[in-house]
Amino acid sequence: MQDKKGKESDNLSTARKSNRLGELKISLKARLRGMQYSLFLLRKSRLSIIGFAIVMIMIFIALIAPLIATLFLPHDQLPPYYANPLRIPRDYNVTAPLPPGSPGHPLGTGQFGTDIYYGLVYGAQVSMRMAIVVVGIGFLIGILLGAISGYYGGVIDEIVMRVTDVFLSVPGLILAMAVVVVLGPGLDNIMLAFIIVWWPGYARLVRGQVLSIRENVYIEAARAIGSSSPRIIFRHILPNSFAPIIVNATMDMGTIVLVTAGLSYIGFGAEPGTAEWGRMVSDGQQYFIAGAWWMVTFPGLMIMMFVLGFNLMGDGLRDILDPKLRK
Amino acid sequence: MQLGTYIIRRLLLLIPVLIGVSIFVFALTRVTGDPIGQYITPHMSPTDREILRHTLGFDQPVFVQYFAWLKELLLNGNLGYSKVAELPVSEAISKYFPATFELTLWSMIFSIIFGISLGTLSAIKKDTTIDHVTRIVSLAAVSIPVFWLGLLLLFVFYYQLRWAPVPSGRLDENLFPISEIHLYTRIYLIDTLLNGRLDYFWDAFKHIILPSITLAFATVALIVRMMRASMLEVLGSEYVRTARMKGASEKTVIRKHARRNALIPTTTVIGLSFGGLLTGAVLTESIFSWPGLGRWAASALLANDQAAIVGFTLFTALIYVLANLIVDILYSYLDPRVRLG
Repeated sequence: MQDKKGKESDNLSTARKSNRLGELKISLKARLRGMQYSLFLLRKSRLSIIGFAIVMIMIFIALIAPLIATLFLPHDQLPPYYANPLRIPRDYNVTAPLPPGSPGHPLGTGQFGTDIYYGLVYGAQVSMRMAIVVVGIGFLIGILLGAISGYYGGVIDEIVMRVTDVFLSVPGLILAMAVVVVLGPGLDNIMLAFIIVWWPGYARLVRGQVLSIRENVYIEAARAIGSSSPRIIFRHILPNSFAPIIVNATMDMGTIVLVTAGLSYIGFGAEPGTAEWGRMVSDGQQYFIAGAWWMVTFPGLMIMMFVLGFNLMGDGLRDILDPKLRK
Repeated sequence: MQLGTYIIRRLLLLIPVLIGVSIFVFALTRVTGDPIGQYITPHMSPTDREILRHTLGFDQPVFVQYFAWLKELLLNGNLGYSKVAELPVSEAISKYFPATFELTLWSMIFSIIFGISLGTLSAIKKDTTIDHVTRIVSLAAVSIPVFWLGLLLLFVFYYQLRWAPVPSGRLDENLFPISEIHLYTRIYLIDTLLNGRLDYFWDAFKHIILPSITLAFATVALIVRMMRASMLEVLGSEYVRTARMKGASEKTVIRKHARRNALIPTTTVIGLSFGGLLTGAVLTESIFSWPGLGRWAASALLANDQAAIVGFTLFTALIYVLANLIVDILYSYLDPRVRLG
């Protein structure tokens, strides 16, 4: 009896397993086809490809910054290994700011012989890190709170809604200023301030998505077969609510860098001489007037390229993920 | 529900939000340092400070302190003393607000007029050169850093072309002292006209044109993009098709049916962009030495003037929330379906 039963359950479990495997195969195939279609749509829009390319280039520069930043510097002016890589090294042979095309400084120098090219390259790293950390962590916190709030409703929902209302009632930069004046200057403090300021936006978005998805029949079905709530949230609701959030997150990457550059420009972000694009603009301001256009133009162009890349990519993603446009 | 009920309901919802902001800001001030520093003026004696300490309840638990702070704010309008302005915060706000208001006002008007017309045009002439150019320029405009744009404009129009005046504020104080003008609204462009002084008007105009363009740039782009998208959606809808089938002229179709409906989501964008204008004002005013709230806030940040930042944040929250309320009311007026929510 035991044996028969054992064999039976064995057959059943193998049957269940192979069924699950079959299901997995089918769902993977469907997902793959969906992704192929998305890529097809993406390829049709030239602007989003440009955006994607720009983003890839920025990521690449950020990753290989340590290798290429000091490429052109004269050998006697290389910074020592223990120096903070985010401080743009000074060329002590330089007395006045050099224009682009000068030996050792392809894009010119700043006020103290600081190499502009180095600043641009490490600036990419600084900006990338800032964008990824802020958007990443804010995203995670926002999704978690938004999903819980939207799914469970009730008191939790009310509390989260009120809190996000408060945070969203003040424009981002200004709220960040309020936090930063307490924490003090520096890029890490700004990072913290931005995370605090940014998560409510995502929480609201996710909550809205969860509220609309929650009413769908398949959620009711999942509940009927006994799936636990966290499982429902993670396996059904969240994956389907990603679309507008991904678009927002992508475009926020650019916005974060814009606001960081703005704060650094006022003087409260990175210190003078740091490889941060906004800081470089403010460092080079007074020389701009005298005709040293490169100190301001190049960092500003980099900021614009960075933000443009993410905006284009976000636009493209929005067009892809818009269900009305898919057949 | 009725429009009136909707308005009252929204106004009531304002209060918890503002309370929440005040709690947040209050908590920030208690995180570091001796809070008394925010209220000390240079001409206070030690006894005054003790009295202040007692009034604000620094020897009592945090809840009591919060209510003391709130009472001080609401009854006496006392937000502390700003080091950089050398004035009490409330006075500094009323001193600097008109400048920022004027700048934001003209930028907003410019953005709305320009943005809506350009967006409509771009949608009507879809896929033509105008459309492509508009789309590319607006995409670039949204990506451009405000302070960089301001610097570039200043460089081109002031240093190179000498068209714009010295970025020294709202008027050239040497040639046109403001004491000559009787100020009705404190909006210089309007007041100078009301006084009949065209020379003052022209000078004020020259001073405000570059900062407003800088500030408006990104907002115009946002409005153009939103208007274009909603216009396209509306133009493809059924009621527009019906109107065309009825034989209405294209102009009527666009003006009477399409644009009015496309304006609805655009109003939301306008409300949201108000926050962008306030933020941009901080940077723009710093570049052009515009004597407004933004420049005050920027210098307060650098000088670690916490009272000023607190006051600035609270005031901005109030303005932003009110602006969004007005936009929402406008929205519910345009689209009655919203009021049922």
